[in-house]
Amino acid sequence: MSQSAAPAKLPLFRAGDIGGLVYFFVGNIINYVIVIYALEAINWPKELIYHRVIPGMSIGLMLGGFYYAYMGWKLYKKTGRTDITALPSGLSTPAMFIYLYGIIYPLHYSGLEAYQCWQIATAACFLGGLIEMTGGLIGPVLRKMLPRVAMLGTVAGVALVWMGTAGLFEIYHDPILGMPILILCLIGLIGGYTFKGNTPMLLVAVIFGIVFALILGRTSPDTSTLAVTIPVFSAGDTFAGLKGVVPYLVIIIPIMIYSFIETMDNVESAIAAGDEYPLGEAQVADGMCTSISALFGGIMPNVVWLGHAGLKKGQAGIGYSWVGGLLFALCGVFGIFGLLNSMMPPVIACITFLWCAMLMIVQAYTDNPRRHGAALAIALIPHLADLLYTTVTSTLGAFGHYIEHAEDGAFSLMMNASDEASVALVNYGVMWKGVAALRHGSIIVSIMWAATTVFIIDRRLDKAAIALAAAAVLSFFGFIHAPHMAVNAAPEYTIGYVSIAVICLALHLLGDKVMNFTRRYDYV
Amino acid sequence: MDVKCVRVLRPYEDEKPGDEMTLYIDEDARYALNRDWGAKAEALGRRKITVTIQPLKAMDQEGFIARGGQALIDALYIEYGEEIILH
Repeated sequence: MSQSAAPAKLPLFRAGDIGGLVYFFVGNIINYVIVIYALEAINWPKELIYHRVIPGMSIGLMLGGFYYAYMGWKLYKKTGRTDITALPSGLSTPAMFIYLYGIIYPLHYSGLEAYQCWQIATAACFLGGLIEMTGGLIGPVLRKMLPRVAMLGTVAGVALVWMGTAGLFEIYHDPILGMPILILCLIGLIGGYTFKGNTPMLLVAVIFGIVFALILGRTSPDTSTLAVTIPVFSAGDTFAGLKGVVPYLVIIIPIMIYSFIETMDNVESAIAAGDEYPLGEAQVADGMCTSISALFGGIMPNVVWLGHAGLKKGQAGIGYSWVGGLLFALCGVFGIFGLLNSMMPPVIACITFLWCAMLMIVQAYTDNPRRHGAALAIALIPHLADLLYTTVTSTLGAFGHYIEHAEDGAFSLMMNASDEASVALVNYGVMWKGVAALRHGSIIVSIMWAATTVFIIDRRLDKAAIALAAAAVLSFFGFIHAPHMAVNAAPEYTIGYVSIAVICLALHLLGDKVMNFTRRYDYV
Repeated sequence: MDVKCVRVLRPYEDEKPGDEMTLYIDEDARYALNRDWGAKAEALGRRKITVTIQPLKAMDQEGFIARGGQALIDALYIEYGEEIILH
């Protein structure tokens, strides 16, 4: 009598999923803490953070966790293999920082109420989701057009001026608590040391930090956010925010391109590890989760995370993904993130800021040819203008020195070179006109100058001319160098860009008739 | 994961590739590109070209280097010792 073995089944949860769950849950919790910390720093009301933003973000993560588990199940059905590992997903860390400091903070510093900022932020997130969905179509084209250092350089700039500075400044604000946590993190994260039993130093540092902060009285558990909060479908708010999101499209489009490239890279990594997931479906799933999250109040995009290969090695299956999704939903609904945030001292979030900033800056240097270093250097500078501008205007605002009236009559902190305070700054020797100009659209200015520099280094003055002509168009319509979008918004800069585009094109056409140049030129 | 930056050095003297556009890379780079040996990849120096990837010898592994011939260097419009990006 022949006996055929029953086909092996894919378990819904297995032992290896516990490690996956820690990775998925703890990684995203840190992002939640960063978001909560950053929003509380600009005085967003708790009601808005814990009843709208957090439940909305949790819905995105829940749907992502469920869907990637479902994709794993489909792959099992297709291949019959039981060693399938679900794609890890979560909030996109670089996009999170860009949304916080490139969109939400400028909205706050332009004088808008928190509720209006949130409406626009959800609209930005909704549009970001739609862009993610189109990733499979336009991503490769844009990726070919823009030099890699231009994309990584601008992310490094944001990382340096917003995350890195915030990280180290906060530690030096409270050195008794901050320094021991910092050194433990650096020993573990950069040195690769672990305690016996393979216990990560980061985990020890976080637990030590929480306990030490409680002992020092820096934190106290706040249970006031513990309540059942049903996510509110707030499409009306999202659509109301759409009109305010237009000036930020120049920020949203590049960072969402970065996000879907991140998804693309990470799905390809999963394919390389043996799980052949369809890339297009993963990108559409990311976009759908992001957009649905926005309709429930979420403000941060989702992506497929790095780490599938490690999870597969740890024998994680699909269980960690759907259980993690469920946990996020429960934490969001019961307000547990607020309790976690109240127990986590700001220095822990700030050390994460610092660590992410260091990685992004290092990656921008090491993942690009050394000859492109000058492009990276110039890419960092417009972001310094953003930091200076924000610091000066918020300081003046704190003393009640509001400089301009916004269009709707509310006081605003918008500032340009014609203002009384600006004139005083210029007279005092501060290059304020340049600071104000570079600050507006700093991300796109950074990308544009990095791209131009790469094209000069790589002997492509024709492409440099095209990049500068694109900058002229963007400044003409006020996407860069102007506080508001308008026709002929920044004429001086438009003329400047046109003139240098013409110079580049003329030199390209004349070539070696008027110039001597070698294939390689070491400028350092 | 599908991009790698490598420094291009001189080719092996004892190997004569059939294709002038052959670039020798290490296992890390091949994994990052998610391609098999002998497959095509896009190389971006000062110019963009398509190359055929082949494995470096064991002594050159994990060195962030690649090796290629003069024709390939000319097509990329770089010089030996400079870095290129592989897609």
